[in-house]
Amino acid sequence: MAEYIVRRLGHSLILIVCVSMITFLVIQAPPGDYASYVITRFQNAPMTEEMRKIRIEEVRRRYNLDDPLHMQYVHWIWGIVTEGNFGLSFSWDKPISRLLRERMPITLMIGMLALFFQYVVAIPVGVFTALKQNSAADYGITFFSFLGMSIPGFLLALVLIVILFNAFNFPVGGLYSPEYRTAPWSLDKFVDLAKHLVVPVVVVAASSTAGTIRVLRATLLDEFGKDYMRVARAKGLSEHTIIFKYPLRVAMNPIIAGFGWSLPLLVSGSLLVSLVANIPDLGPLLHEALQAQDMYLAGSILLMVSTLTIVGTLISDILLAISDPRISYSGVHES
Amino acid sequence: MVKKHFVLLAYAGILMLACAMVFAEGRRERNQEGPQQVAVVASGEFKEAPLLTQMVSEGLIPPVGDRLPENPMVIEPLESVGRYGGTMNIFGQSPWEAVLMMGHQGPFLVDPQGTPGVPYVFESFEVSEDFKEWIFYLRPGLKWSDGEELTAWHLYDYWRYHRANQVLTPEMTPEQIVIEDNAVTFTDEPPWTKGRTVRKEIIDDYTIKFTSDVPYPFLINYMSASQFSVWSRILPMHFLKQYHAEIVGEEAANAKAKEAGMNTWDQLYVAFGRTNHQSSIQIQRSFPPTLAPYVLVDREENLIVYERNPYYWAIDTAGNQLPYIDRIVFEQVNNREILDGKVISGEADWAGFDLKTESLPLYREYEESGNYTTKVWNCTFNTVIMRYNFNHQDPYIAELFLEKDFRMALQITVNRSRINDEVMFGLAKEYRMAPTPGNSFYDHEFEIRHTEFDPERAGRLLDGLDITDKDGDGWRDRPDGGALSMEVLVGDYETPKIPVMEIITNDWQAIGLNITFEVMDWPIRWPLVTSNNYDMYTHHGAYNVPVTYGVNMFSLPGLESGQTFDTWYKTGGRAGIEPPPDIIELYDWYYKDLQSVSTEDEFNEISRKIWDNVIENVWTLDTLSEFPRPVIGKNDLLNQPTEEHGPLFWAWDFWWIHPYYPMQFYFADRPEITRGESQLFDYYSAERLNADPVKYSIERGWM
Repeated sequence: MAEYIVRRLGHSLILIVCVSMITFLVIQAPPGDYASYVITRFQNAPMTEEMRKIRIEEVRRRYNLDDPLHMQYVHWIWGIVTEGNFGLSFSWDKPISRLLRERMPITLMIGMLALFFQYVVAIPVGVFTALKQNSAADYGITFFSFLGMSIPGFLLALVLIVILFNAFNFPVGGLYSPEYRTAPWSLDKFVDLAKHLVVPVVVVAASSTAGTIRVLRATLLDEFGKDYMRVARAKGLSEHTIIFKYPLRVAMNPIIAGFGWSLPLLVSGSLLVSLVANIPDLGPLLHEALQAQDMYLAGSILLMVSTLTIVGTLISDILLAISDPRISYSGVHES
Repeated sequence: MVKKHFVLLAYAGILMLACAMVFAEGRRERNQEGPQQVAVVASGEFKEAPLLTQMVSEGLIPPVGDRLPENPMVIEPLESVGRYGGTMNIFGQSPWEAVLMMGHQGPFLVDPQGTPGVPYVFESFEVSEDFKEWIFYLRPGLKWSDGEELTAWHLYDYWRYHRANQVLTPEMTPEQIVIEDNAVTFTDEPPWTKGRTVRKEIIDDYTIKFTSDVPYPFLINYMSASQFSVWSRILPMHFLKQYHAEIVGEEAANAKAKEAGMNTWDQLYVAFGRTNHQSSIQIQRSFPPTLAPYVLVDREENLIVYERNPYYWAIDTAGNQLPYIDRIVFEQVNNREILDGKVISGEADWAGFDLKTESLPLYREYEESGNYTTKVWNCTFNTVIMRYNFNHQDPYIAELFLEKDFRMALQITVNRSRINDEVMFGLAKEYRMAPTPGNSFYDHEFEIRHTEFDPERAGRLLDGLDITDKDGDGWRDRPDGGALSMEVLVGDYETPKIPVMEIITNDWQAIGLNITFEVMDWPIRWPLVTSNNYDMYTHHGAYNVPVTYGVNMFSLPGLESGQTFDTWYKTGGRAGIEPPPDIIELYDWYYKDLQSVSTEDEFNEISRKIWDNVIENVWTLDTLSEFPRPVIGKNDLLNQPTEEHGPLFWAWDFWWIHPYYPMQFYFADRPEITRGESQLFDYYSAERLNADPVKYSIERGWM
């Protein structure tokens, strides 16, 4: 078990290094960036030749533009690893780490709430649809889960905002209503925040909830026909015990495996949704960074999201190993 | 010494009368304030917001009488004297909406007709007969938001340490500057002055004199339209000097910048020195003192919170210190749909800057439930203009753009009435980017020349240039048979550029021209433009009001596009590309002859000559003029301007709503913010006032 975890950790580290390299290359790929924009400005400014040289030199030095690509990468990674310094955002004039620290908590909060929402809704509903296979309720839920999977998040967010505004006079986007934005914490402010979170959380969770319901239903149905079920029934166990003790445990495997990818999905899903629903988290930050070609900022966010994916996969691997001992041993024997 | 000033007066048609009147207006305002002022001062009747009284009693700020200048600016409320209180909630995709509410802190303003020279931070001005000597009077006792008095020496310091500094103003060379103890002289001061030497001199603490070697008729325009204010920018130099290398030494200044996470002193200086209207949401900080009606007390993620500036130097006619509204909270939204949502749900108390013409029907529909009113302002922009890259890297294209017949072919394929019907609800004027009736050189013929929609003639013009379909693929080709395709860079901001360009490019394609457009955001588009990697790009044109004309003419060829004719001309050939002789001649008319006229006849004559040239030659493609702009305001927000108060021009040149003074807006009955809610007490606490601005800002994540 320990060996398995160490091996997975090693894989993850190598993966993170690869991802960071690719991210860095992607940052460098598009023609033109903020620094070259600054430089063109100097080139066209009606200033003395000498002055222009000094200014351009300074910009190039500031962003290490004269170093070869691999050295620029080393500088960047070294700063991140040793002092958590992601570099300076060109368009915000601010250290990127400070921007991430401001925005990350909101993204994570929405992601966690969505994860919570996903499991709280999907597991009971999944079990229910498996038990009531081919009933009207099953068809209804199936219909809605396909809708949930296929409607893009940004569209669903807009539609939900409009419906909630027209029907219940819900707030339109943002985190707080104007009257609570600067107010100290109170029950009212909490309720207000909760109202604002309905759209982002539901939308971020929608597709993965729907997916989880489908997967759970399918695996449960597979298990229901198996011999151990018949044996359990023959032993006279109650139906409740049978379902929750055996097939559900098996059916949870794909869901636990899915935890790995649902973590980054929730974060990246929230990027687009928060853009639409006006949540001040990483989404708008990434969007603005891409628009402004603030590549170090964009790259840092991408790196964070991909690192989250890898960490999520690692966690799900470990969880799987714990819940299903077959998994950790099989790998060892093969090698 | 004092003389009529035709530029100021260029509106209202009745020229002779207006001429005498407009300059007099500057004077009159000063005199008018006199007796009123005396009455208010004598009775000691200055009134302030209750919270400020509390702050005075706690010793945080001096009494209101000591905070106001000797002659405060008196702003006449549009409808009624207001009451203090309330929080104004505004939303926008950029902080411009908040900046609008702050106004600009330039020396003078424009009036609702666009006439410059309305006293604001400065009290008045005088100009000599020949327009060579200008004297400006400051308001004695006017204070920055930190209580420091604004004197003429702040302006001297700006010229001496900012404009004459090679690092902060790289486009100036040392040969262009002469520094004296009480004056700084600039020759050919960029960006707009050419062939002129101006000595800027401090007469006393409250008096400034500009002496130019040639007539300088447009100086008051520069002084009134803040966007051109490199000559008149009022920076808090007493604050900024602590970061300036020439004052504290290069080493100490750079060390301070490093502390703020920056590399060189000028970055820190510039970060702190951005005036309100330049700063965007991410770099605004609460530290540099301001002259604005509000100070920035807090900023988090996408919020900016402003509260009243206790030192704001304007009062209403009853002696109440302005502004009336306690607090402004600006929230940045990420997209238009949410902004529209904030409007129709009634969350926004005022919105204008980021609203789109296309959404007008939506705003109207929800007026009742949202409890707001939609007004249609008149946008003085030419909706979409398109500039050609006369310095194209492909020599054939560069030559083609200089060919009048080609530009004309594109111009007369613009279907103005269709654009008007489909995009502007038929409310815009189908006019060129030409002077409006307010100008003394107005000519209706300018507005309508070459506005006909005539694709057939356009086709003949192209045939004449041997741009015909040679390979039978349906697209017109170059004379040598090579494919001819062009792309327009389009930005989606302020005016409905995309729907307009859709209509226009469709019509171009219909006559066989392979012209498409691509939508790009500014940070991507602009480097392409400045590095000369484009065919054409769009913008909108401001052009037609007295304050702008003579300062920056949008219709001239070769502007704003990197290594251009314009740069060549202004740098005397040091940079840019040499224009053909006819363009040099046009530049001479505008930059030399017009900039130094001293009689009205001369002014009108040269202006007509310039306009006849730019209208005839269609140097810039233009579309529609004066189109509708929705502006919404909540119903309990009073003293909002309506048509009864004057023309509702929505334009940069006017600083949008500024001619109607947003600081006299007030809420009918919203409660005053409480001591607990207010952050102003912290803002004026000894802890903040004595804190090191860099450390304090970093601790709060502002820097």
